[in-house]
Amino acid sequence: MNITNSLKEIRLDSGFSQKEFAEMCEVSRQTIHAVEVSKYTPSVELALKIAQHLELAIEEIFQLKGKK
Amino acid sequence: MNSKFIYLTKKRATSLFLVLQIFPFLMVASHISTLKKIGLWIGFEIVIIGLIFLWQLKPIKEFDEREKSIVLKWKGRIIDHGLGVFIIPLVTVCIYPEIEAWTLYCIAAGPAYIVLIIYHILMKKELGLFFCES
Repeated sequence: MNITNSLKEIRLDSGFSQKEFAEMCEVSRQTIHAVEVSKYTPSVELALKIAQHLELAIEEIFQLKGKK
Repeated sequence: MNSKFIYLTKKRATSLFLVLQIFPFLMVASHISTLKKIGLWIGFEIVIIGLIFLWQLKPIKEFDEREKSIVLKWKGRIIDHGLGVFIIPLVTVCIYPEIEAWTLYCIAAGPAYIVLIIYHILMKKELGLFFCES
């Protein structure tokens, strides 16, 4: 997978549990977990929702591997 | 794009089950012994229920994008590999044409059922329905 993310750290900093955050993004808790451990790359729609709820830009959460 | 999926309901399952009974009835009309008829009847019913089981039940909650992709992937594999094992009876008939229908049925349905059950377990595991991974 060529995309990494720092969703877990950002989510924990924001004080959301996986379940709460999953409900906000209208997905299952397992999906949030899969995104956090880079087992699943979210669609543009879900990535935008995640960024919106964390009030950050997408590139602050998701990065291409090897890019800074 | 929103697509409407026709889920399996009790009414649809019952209708399909009744329609598919034509196969066991055709078999009963054939000239085989009663014991084999009973065996084949049970076999047919298992296959019919298995086929209906492949149809997606309406989930309690809507699947999200990841879950939909996993379900589609495993259903595709079940159909591909489940049908793939039917090559075994075809090869068997070529090599041994005198084979009985009952034996042929067993070597076709058995592996197909194993594929169905194992793949369903793997699908549930990938969906994260077995263990809490956080």
